[in-house]
Amino acid sequence: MRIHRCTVAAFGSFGGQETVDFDDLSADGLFLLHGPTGAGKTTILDAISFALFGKVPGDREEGTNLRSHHAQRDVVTSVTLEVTLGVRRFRIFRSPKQSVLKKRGEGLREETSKVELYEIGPDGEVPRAEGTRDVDEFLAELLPMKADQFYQLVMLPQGDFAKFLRARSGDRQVLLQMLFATQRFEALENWLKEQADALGSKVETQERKIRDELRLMADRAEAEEYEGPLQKAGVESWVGPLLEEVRQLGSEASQALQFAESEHRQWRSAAELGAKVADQQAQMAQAEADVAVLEAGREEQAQNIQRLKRAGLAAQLSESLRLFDAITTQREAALQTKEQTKATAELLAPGIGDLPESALAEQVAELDQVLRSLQSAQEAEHQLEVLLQRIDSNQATVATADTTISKARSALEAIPEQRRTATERHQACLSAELEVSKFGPQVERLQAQLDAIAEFERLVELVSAALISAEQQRAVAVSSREAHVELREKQLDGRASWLAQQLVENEPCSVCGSTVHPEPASLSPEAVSDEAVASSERRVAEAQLALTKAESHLASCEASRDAAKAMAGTNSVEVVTAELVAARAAVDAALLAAEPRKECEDALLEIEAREQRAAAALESAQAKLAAARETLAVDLRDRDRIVGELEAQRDQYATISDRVRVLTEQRKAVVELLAAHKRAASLEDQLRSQSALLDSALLERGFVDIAQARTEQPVPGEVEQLNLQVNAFVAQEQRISAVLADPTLIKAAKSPAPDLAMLTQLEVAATERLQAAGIVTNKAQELGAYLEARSAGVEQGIEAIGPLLAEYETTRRLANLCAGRDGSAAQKNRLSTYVLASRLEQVALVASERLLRMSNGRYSLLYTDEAKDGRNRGGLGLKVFDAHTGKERDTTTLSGGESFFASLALALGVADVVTAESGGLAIETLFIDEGFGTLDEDTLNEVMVVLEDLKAGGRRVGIVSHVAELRSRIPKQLEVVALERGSTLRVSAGQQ
Amino acid sequence: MRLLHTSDWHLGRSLHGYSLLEAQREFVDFLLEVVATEEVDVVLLAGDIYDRAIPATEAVALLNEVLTQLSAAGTPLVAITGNHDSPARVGFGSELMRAAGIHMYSSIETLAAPTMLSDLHGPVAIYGLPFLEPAMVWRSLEAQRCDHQSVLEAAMSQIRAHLCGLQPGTRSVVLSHAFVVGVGDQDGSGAEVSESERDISVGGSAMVSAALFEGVDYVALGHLHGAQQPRNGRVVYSGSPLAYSFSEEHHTKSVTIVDLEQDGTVAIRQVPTPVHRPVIRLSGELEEFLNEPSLLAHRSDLCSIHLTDSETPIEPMARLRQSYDHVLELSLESRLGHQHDLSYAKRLAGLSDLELSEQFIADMWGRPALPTETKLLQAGLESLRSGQESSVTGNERSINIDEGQHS
Repeated sequence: MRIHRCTVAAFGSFGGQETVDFDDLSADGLFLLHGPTGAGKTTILDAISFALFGKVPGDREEGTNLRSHHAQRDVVTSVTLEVTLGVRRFRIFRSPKQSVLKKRGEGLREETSKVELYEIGPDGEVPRAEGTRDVDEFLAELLPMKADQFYQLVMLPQGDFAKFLRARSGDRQVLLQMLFATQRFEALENWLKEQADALGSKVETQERKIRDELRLMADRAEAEEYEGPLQKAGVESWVGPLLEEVRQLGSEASQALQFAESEHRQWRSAAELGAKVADQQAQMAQAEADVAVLEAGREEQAQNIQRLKRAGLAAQLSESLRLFDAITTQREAALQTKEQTKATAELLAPGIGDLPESALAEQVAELDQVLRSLQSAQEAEHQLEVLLQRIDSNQATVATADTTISKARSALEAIPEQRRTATERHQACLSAELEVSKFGPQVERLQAQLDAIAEFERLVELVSAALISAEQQRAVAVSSREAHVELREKQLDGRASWLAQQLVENEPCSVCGSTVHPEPASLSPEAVSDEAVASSERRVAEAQLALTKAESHLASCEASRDAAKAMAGTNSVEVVTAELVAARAAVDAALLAAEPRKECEDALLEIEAREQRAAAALESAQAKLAAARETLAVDLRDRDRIVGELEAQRDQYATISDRVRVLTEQRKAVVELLAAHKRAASLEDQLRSQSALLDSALLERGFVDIAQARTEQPVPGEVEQLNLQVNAFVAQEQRISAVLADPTLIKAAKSPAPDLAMLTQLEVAATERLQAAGIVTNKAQELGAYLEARSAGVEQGIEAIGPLLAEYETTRRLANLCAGRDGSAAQKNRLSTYVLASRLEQVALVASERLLRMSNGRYSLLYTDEAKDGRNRGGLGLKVFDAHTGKERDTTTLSGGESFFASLALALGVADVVTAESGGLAIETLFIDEGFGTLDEDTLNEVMVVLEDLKAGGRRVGIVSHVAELRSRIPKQLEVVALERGSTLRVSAGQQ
Repeated sequence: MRLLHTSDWHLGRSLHGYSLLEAQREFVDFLLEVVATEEVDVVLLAGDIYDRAIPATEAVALLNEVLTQLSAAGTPLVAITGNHDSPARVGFGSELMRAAGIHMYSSIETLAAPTMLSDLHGPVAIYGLPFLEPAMVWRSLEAQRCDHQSVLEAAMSQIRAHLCGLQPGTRSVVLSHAFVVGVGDQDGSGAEVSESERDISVGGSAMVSAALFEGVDYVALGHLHGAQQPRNGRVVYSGSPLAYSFSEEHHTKSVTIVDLEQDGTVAIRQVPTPVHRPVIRLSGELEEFLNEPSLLAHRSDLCSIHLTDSETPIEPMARLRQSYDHVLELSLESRLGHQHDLSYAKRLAGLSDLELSEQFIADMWGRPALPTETKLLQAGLESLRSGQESSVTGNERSINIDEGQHS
């Protein structure tokens, strides 16, 4: 905390405004405030205290007492303080409740107390708090001291500097708690307690879980619950026997099971044996029955075998038969084809059909030759066709060109006449337009005239209305004036009567002085007040005003009317209207006439274009004609030539192509005929050979002829069926003989028949017993497994809870210790109090160093934990140790001067320790108000040496003193000068 | 010319309550004797004549006597005021006294008005540069800054200017009262400082360099109470004639005789002053003090006694006073022992929150804090610092017995 600057206005003994620059004053660490008694040295300190806390030390309380009696009535009492707290710089403005002169009007007003706090940053001032409560709260965070504590440690006030030195333990506690912010240790105490509580409940929960588990186990095992402590040993000793019991039961049960199993096995095998014997006996009986059946079917069997054989042979021939049939069919077809082709060829080349096969080939060769020779002729014919086409087209072109030429020529001739006509029309349009521009303005003028006439008539009416109203106003004005005059007279009368009332007989009249009053005026019933007169006056004025207005209105209307009349002219409405209509009509007509102007212009252009087009067409057509005529001549020559060439080749046909076509067809037919011949012949051969083969095969197999073989072909599926039947019979036969030969069966047939029913019964009973034994065994096993698993879980739980318990123990003990509730502790001291004590011890240590110096090594300060308030908790005591006597002394036994420098050393010590504590408030400024007078010269010197040392540590100490020696020893001084109009300040640097 | 250089008389001073006036009276007599026997031509008194700005009447009377005697003997005295003197008071009547051969320099007005003496070889100019409080004179001297160095530089330049105007070959002597350190000694570590000098720092610095007296034949300094020479043979402290603090117990106090030769060289020797009562620091146990002859030999000296008893003795002062006449200072090892061990900062710095808590446990339960306890405290402090709740450390395994499993 460092004070920079303080400005006081109308405060204490300062009537005006004074500023103290502490930065400048305390540049050398020490500065002196001096001046005559009552000048106001202490006031400066009061101002600082007031700015920070809103009150001053000592009995002088806040309020109107702070206001300077020397102050001008319009100056407001206030203090402005610039101070750095921590690293932030602030400006505090505070003014007390006071009465000051009103700004407007006379008298005093109550000004409420005001306080504002601004933070000074690199960009200027920022308001931070306003109003007593907010500012105090704000400051409390940064300056953890209340006013009382401030006066014990930072600003040692006159006569009261030893308060902290002599304080009781409890009071010291309050101050130190705030300074050293030991709340965090209190918070730590609470935190420990909470942790212990939390752990405690956790432990409880876990224990409960384990106990529940044990109970469940007990229920299941139908044993008594476990009541002992949750330790491994105890639980084991309870669980052990249980498990043993269960295991015992289990082994018994399994023994019984084994026995039941073997019994069951016995009876089962007996029953099985019996069943088997019965079965075998049955088999035997069956086999004997089957033999008879078999014999019955033996004959059929032989038949089937025979049939099977025959069918097989027949089937072998089926393929050959089929082939034979196929070839036969084909031969028939080929013979038919031959006949057909022969007929066709006859048509095309008569006589061909009779030719033998060999001759046909020759024919074909001949035809080929002729065809080859006709190929080139055919090509020439094509060419001719093309040529003919071209000739036709050229001739057409010639015709077209002729037509085009004649058309174009006629068009060109017609052009001049057309042009002339169009030009005439265009001119007509232009002249019509001129007409329009002539008549247009006329129309406008006539229209305006018409309007003016109408206006004039309207205004005439308006004027008459205005006249009337003006008249009315005049009347009103006159009447109001008359009324006013009446009223005045009445008033005067009234005055007279009022005066008359004042008259006393034999006393002079106030008007004429006579003492005789023969005929005093009578009292008029109505008194006329001044107000009435005034309002009547007003009415007159108003009426006058209204009149003026109406008259001016009238004048303006008349003026307008005259103007309109001028505009309207002399003609009557009808005349003007008629003229207007005529003019309008003329304009319209002209417009109409001028309309088609654009069309005429376009038409002219069109004619130009047409002329050009016709000329172009003529030229091109002429060119085309010439070209076509040339080509035509050439082509005609060629045509004639080719036609001649082809004459010969044509034979009797119309064209070469025709001839070629016919010959080609002929060739084809001949070729076909030839092929048909060949085919029929080959098929005949095939047939012959096939039937030979077939004959031999038939013979081999014992068939007489083809027909028989065909008949004996098997139907589909017949063979398979027969096979099945035969095989089945054979199998059955085999089986029966096997059965009959089996020795086991033979033996069984000889044995007696077993009683199956009884055996089954016995077996079922044994099975039931087996099942029962099985259930019992399972149950026992399950229980054993369950108990084992559960007990493992319980053991783990107990293991886990161990460390938790330990932790809880530790935490609870520590929490109790820190809260001062541990009986085994050396003292019942809370942690926070202990910390305070250690801080105080530190303070004593640090303070003692200076104290020793100031007392020539005699005195030092001691911390003691003696509680002055009677309770056994550690206290915050201070004692003085006197080296001369080697004994401790109470702080109150020091002399005045000794108390002074002891308090000083203590204050400096506290400031040092607080400042050095990290995060602590740095107390840099210290004020000492008087007290130096209690010191002798040597001690004063020692104290001054100690104080002069402070500047090395950046400490600033302000001393208020009148002691002369200090004046010459402290260079930087602030003198308070007492004047009649209040005190002022003067900074001086140096001696006297 | 023979000069006698002395300073720092501090007339009227007491040492821890014991008045030294008697010793000072003895010194004054001695001084007058030396002046006579050594045939001193001029006495230079370099400041701190009185101990206080408003001295006691006996001190004033004593000075009065010295001045009167010196004047009667015809030996001029050139003196300056020091930081302990009040210039206005000491300078009272200085103009009148000049005629009597007493030249008192107490202000900057007379900087350029030296005392002119001469011997066979020529003139000698003796300038008086009193102690200057920078804040008061720096503007009128047109010094660059408001500190001792600048102010003295400005004053010296005035003196030099005047010296230039004198006849060539004039020897120069300057009296000055300041904290002068040798050239190249930046922080004054080469200077010997006693406990009895008052701190004159301005703007954090008290020192000036001897270099600023360059060109002067002899500079007679006052302020430091131990005789020393910041610049051998040229810039000299005569030291105080008596021991004024226990830190000076081993000083040989003296006045300085200076022979100023024709060419400006100087020959310097010191003449020890009588010791009225030796000042001594003693340490030992109380019993030793009461019985040991070697210690008892100091019974009439001015003693600062440090008792090394491990246990606090009872009524040590009373018992010592039975044997020793002047126990001016008494300190007890048993109370201060641990105080000397710890440095000031360490004492201040104290312990961290954690260390405090551990100390608490140790004090309450008589055994140091266990690791588990330390951990717990750490966790608590951290969580409070971060403003959140922290969970309990240690082995925490949740037990889930229902499924027969554990995590």
